Amino acid sequence: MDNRALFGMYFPGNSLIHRLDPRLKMVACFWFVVLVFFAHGWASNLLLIVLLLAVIRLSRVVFAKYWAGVRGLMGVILFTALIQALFSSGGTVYWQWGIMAVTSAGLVQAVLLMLRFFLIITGSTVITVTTTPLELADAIAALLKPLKVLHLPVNQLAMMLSIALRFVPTIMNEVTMIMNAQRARGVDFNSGSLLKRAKHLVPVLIPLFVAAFKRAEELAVAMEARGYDPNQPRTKYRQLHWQRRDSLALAVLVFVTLAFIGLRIWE
Amino acid sequence: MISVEKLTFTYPHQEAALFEDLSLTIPDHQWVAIVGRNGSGKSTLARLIAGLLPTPAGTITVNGLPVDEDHLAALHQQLGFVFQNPDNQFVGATVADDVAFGLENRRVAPQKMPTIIERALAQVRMTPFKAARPEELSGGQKQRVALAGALALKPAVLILDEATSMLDPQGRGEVLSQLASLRQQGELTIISITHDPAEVALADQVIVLDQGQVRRQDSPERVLTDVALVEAVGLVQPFALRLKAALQAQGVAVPATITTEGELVQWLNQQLNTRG
Amino acid sequence: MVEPAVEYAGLGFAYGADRWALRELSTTIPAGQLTALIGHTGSGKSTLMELTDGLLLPTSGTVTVFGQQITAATKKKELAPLRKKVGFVFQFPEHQLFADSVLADVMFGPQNLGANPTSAKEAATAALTRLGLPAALFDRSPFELSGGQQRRVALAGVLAMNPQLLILDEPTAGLDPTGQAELLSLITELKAQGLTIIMITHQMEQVARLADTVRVLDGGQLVFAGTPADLFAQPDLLAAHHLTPPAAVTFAKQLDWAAADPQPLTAATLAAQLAKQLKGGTGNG
Repeated sequence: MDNRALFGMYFPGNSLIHRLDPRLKMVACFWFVVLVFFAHGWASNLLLIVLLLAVIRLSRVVFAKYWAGVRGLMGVILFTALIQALFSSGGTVYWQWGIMAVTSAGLVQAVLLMLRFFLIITGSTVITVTTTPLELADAIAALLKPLKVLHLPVNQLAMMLSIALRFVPTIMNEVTMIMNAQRARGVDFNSGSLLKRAKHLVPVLIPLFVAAFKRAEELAVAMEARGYDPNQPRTKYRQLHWQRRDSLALAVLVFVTLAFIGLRIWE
Repeated sequence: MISVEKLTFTYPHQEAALFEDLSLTIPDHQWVAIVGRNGSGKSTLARLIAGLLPTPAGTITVNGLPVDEDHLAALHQQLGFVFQNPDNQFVGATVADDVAFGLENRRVAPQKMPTIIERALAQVRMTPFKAARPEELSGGQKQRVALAGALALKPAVLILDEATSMLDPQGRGEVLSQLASLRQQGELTIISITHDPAEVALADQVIVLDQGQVRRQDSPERVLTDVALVEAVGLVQPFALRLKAALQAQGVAVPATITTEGELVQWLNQQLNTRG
Repeated sequence: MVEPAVEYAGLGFAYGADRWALRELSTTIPAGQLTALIGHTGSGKSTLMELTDGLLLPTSGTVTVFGQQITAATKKKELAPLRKKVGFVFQFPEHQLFADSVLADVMFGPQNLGANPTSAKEAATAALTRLGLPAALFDRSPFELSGGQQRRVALAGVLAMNPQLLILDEPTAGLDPTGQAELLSLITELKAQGLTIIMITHQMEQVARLADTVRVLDGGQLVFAGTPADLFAQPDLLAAHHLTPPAAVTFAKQLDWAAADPQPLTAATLAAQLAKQLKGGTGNG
């Protein structure tokens, strides 16, 4: 299993969006979500749609990748939109049955809600398809740094995150191996009642936990032998370098935000 | 020099002491193999020397440095450690990141790291795999990365705790030839804990541990030719010595002075040429 | 000609659409013999064994195990009888132990195959005894045992299912020399009791000492099928597939002497031949 394919999302490439600083991408994504929540009118939403489409175009990632992100949550989106449509009031009433009513305001609300979902999901997908998990971990570690003043164990958290990422493929292999071994001993993971299936997990989970504890212990000793001390400062091999393109992208983001505020006042 | 003096050690929650009054010295710039059955305490001894287990103060010194709580940081500067399981000591996301891990702990300036990493990887011939992720590497390659991680820190002492036991013969061969060339450079003290006769044969000295005591500290030739000792501590003899024993059992009078493969080949060829 | 236990015909397996792990493989595994399966990581040997135990289904071609044919169209429920015939001991099998006691862990396989508790217990006790584990350990937690003992418990867990074909993936990996020797003599005993054995190994010494026949895989294709003596008599083939001959072969090459046929593969056979030559020489001179 490929570490970069964690969550099956990363789409290898060398586009402008791929090359942007992961810290910037994370902050921008967060900011985009904030803007989505403040967008109420058609004009401000249209601005965000245009921005997102431009970024998607620049990322040179096949659209199917983005669609896959939305499709997974389609059920939730439609259900929420339906509730919104049936239980809102205001405007012209088209249909009514008990407490349920389809109104013009409700329909507008439902459409806006769906749009919001699409924007937020697709906006976050931009990050996961253009950034490797390793870069994301680096970005998270860097962005957490200011929290040190609150005496949060920022360095330890960053180390935990990077070790977790490192061992995901190893543990996935282990799961496959243990499941195969138990299948060879006659376990059928795909049949039987829910209770029976749950019981079948025992011969997988116990060896997995035993292995995980052993691994953790050995890893801790190995890290200590290599001079790791969680309470000491460390230097960092992997450096994130802020480039001119990152400053430009930031400028674009500021400009879009100003335009957004302008539209909101006008709306 | 590493010296262990009257070491007594008992694992927590265990009654019997693993070591009682154990004393030994490991000279500088030598390759010393430590052998013994499972449970003879050889891995524990390595961990005690590296300060990875709590030690009674004043019993172990590494190059004059006492192994205790206060000197751990300085001690880890001196020591490189390669463990048995290739996966459970690979910390970094890629080969380069893993070699960098020790450098980061020692607060080496980031701009100095690439050169050091390049050099360490070249030393173990892993340069082409610099950006590879651990799951793309074989066990032998991961152990070579672990070796590079240790060498990058320029240790005085390198400890290998059954570092080749989980590898296939090819991987084992790669790691052993790496160690042999390191020994050639003559700056390192190498301590290798092992069951592998080929690894024992490469060493300058062998320490045989048995029930928490040093049963023998001698040259590999003398240890490996002592059949009773070899069997008692769960080793096997290297091929040439097994062949020699088999020949003697068949009534061929191989001189006792012959202990290596080269010597045996030479002697046999002489015999074949004169008699054939 | 020995009756084949397993027959592979035009066997192919692909992960996904076009990542072929095995291609057009045809060979047999003789019954009652020990077949060594050699190949590096990615050679397809693990895939071949998973196909043999029905853990994977072929993409093309067939696997026939003791008369039962497996194809791409084989239904899942038809695999249960196959798993009864085939016992698969994975690498580091002790990592799959999970039950509270040694006995319960070994009973797990027979119970999955539908045995009632009494007969599962009988099968488990028999398998543990067969592997020389003292009854005093039966009620202990498997996690309290030594590494070598754990491995034998895991092996017993597969033997208790009473397979006709036993697949062993690197059975001696990670054991010390004493543990290795013990396990290898156990394997020899199992073969003497009539089991067909396929052993995946990297150790050419084990191939030389134990195998009746050898299959070598490289890049998903069968590149050799024959006896160990045939294999080690072909230095070019060995080199092409990055295999090192056993020490006896490498040693004999350095002698000014043409080894007799069959080529000696172990210290004992080499010594016997050399002794004959040297003593014969004395007689003539």
